Amino acid sequence: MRRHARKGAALFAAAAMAMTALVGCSGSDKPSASDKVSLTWWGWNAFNQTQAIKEFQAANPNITVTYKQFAYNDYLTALRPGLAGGKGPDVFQVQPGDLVTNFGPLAVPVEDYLSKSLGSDWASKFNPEGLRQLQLKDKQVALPAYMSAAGLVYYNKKILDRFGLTVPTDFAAWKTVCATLKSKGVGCLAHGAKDAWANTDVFLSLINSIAPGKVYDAIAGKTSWTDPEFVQAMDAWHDLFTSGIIAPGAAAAAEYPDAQINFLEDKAAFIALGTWNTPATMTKTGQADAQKTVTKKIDGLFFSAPFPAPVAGGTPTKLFGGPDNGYAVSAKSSKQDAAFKFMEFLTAGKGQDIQAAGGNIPAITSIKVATTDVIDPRQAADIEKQQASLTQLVGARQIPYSDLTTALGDALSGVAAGTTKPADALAQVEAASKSVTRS
Amino acid sequence: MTALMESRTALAATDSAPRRNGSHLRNYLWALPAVILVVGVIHAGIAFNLLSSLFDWSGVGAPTDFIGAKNYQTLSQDPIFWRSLRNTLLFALVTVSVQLVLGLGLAILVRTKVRLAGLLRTMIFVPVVLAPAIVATSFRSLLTPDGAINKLIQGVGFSDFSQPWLADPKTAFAAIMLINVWQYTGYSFLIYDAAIGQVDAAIFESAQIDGASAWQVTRLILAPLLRGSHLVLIILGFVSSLKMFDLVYLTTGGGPGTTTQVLTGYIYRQVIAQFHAGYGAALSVILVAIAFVFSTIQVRLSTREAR
Repeated sequence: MRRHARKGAALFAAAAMAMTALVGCSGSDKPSASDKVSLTWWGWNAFNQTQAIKEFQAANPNITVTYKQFAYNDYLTALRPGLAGGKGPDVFQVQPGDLVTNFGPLAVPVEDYLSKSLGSDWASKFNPEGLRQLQLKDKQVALPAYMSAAGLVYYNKKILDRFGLTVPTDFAAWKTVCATLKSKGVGCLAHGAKDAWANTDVFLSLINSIAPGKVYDAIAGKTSWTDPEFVQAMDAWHDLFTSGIIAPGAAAAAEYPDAQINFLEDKAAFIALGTWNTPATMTKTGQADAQKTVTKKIDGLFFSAPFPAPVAGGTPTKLFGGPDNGYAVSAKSSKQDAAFKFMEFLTAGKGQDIQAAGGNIPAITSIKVATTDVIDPRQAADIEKQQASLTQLVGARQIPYSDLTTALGDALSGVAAGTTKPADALAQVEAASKSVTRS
Repeated sequence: MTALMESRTALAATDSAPRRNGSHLRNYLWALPAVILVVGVIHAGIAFNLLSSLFDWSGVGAPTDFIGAKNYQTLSQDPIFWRSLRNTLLFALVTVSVQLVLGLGLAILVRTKVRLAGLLRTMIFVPVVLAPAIVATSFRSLLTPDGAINKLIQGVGFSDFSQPWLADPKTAFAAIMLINVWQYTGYSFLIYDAAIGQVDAAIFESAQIDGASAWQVTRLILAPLLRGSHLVLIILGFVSSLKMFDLVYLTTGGGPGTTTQVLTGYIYRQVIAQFHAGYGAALSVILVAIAFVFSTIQVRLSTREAR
């Protein structure tokens, strides 16, 4: 027994020495000025990150960047301890709304760095809405990766042409189009009502057509969610499910991949997505990537149009949106100079050219989105129109208060399923709105 | 003589006491790794969770806003919590009951002189080893309005019964329970099959000679003999039902509305999507308390069974 004890003690001592040696190694690992710097970059859907890293490292040979990709929900789980404990990323991806509210305090404001790097007028280079939605308490905690907006329907022109149909501008015309499509065995609006974000985008399209901008007053707590315009919008939302515009079964479908697959595989003629859907539907490179997600060959011809107005003869919504996502530098990063350099590359440097080349609308207003890769020359005008519309947004896509976001999501899901009446659903949203603490 | 023996016994006791204590101590040391693991991971986690439930905390950084029992007060008035709790308990009650009945029925079937018993055993058990993500994704596709199940229903002439099973609030939760029954009945079957194999066949033969019918043999002899298996399956079934998350998350996400929301899904939503880690911790405490009640019942009943 004693021999075993001695052996154990020896093993313990050896382990302790090894640990000490390791700790010693890590303690002496502080890079000197001439050393290479390694950055970690975390995100859930960074666009063309391989190209971005390649170009950045070529321009900055002493900095290496490692990108770590997460599924969105895993990202939220990993980021909390990662940022708070200091073992997380140097540069991380954020989205306007909840993520800025909750992770913004763990980011370094960018103003000082950008003033030195790009000059005091650095903000004038960006789309103003792209910056505004990534601010927290008047501090710019992140910079936009690219701009996007919703309030559109994408449609398959080949299907509409085949049946002699045109793009509807209001619900009355849309119902007629949908009835014809149904009689031909084609779905109308592909929609994944399981996803609250997809439902919210459609609802914002409806309310921004009925009463442009009023929803942002309600989000700010300045007006009631039970006002007649909201009831009208919620009735229109219900109408989408009962009139045949959205087919039965949508409540259990996800926007990605279910609805998108139906749309790309010619099973439905319309889908309500935003400008981020342009690369997959209108560019050759984007469609080649999208082809990997579906089994049937994509042969539709896709364009976008404003989401039809719920009121007969009404004006369809203006686009609403802002930065699709953005990047921030962790306050716990020990390599903030290199991290800022990389963030600047992504958001104000060549990273924006990579976005533009891929069909995403850059946040730097002087950079035009590329239209050379379009599948059909007519799509170029569509894309240019989208970029122009992003300078005249009616408001944001995201609601900055998670409880209100969830309450609206629940309300829309309940109305879609027929379990909640529109007026009751709005009363629940109003109750949630009243309980929200607004800064 | 008696006095001499007592004195020897006393001496022996005095002599061996330190040795026995040392041996006891060593015995405890063998259990130390497991104790460290259980206390350090599970019990410390529960304690931290309990502490977190007393804070208004987003889950980012350290909890600072102490609010006492306010999360529990909010919870008692939260209709989604009550719906989730009701769904969770209903799910446990229905799935465990159905799995027990079907599992026992199939085990009896296999233990009688049925052909291809080995193949039947394998077929019944295969769904148990499938990943819930695969099962959920497959059934989500099968149960769509134009999915295989509706096509089958239409094919046999019952078109009026075809519907979007997971999208309709009237059928969504029942559909989820059926998926679970399909997947896990094989587990009940396996336990019953093994237990029946341990029963002396002579008991059944005697009963049959005495004129007992098959139903009487099952009800009056077999069912009481399988009491231990029933108990294990009920307790394990209830506890695993409390933890059920993936199937709902991947099929309906708790919808339509919140009609299929369960407690674990609601905790996840509060903590991850709504940044209410403190409130989510309070919900978790309720879940742990329910699991604790079931575990206590299991230990008590198992102990009684062993005696």
